[in-house]
Amino acid sequence: MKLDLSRLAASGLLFVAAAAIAQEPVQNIDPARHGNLASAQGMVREAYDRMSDAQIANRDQLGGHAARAKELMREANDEIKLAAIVANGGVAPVLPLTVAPAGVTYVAPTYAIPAPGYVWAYHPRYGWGWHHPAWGWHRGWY
Amino acid sequence: MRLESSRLLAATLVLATGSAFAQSEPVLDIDPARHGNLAAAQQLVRGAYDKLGEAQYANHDELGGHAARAKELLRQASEEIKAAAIAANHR
Repeated sequence: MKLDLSRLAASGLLFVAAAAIAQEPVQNIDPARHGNLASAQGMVREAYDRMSDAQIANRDQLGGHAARAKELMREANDEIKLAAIVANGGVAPVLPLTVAPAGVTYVAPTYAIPAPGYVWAYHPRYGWGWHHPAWGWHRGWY
Repeated sequence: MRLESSRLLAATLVLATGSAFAQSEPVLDIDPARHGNLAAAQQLVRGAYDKLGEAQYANHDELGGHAARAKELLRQASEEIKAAAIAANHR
């Protein structure tokens, strides 16, 4: 029983860690195709990391403003990605919107983005599809 | 009378333009000697903002409104970074 509880706790921690990683801004714009947008994304990611450093240095006592700034940066990062998609004529670029898990091959979007705010992401059961941070998976995946 | 009205209108326009400009661009207002990480983050946000401006220009401002939205989010992020620095000063 003790073993089961520790396994459950471990899996819970893994889930929390995975969720935290998913919240971080990713760099998913091809710099050869969209130099300015890719640079902007890179700077946003660096700024995000600097905010994390500031949180640690200040023992996370920044009145919640650092966390809010990071959330705004993550949202901005998503918008930059969407700008790149629009620049491509509505077709997602070759690079994935999220980092694929180890051993998973990237598959380009098979249909157009359903609405602004969706990102092309990997679902562990169904494979690649559109995911919205607030509405979840398109086509009813869960 | 007409001259005075036009002067008043011009002054109002200048003020309105200045106000809009001041609101729309993220500013660098954190002392890097005091808050190195926060100042660096603010500079990077400003850099990203400028890069988005260049992207808008290069794409004839046809990015579906996403670049403009990203810039607005970055402007808000810059203000939050400043607020974080103020919070750190009061610790």
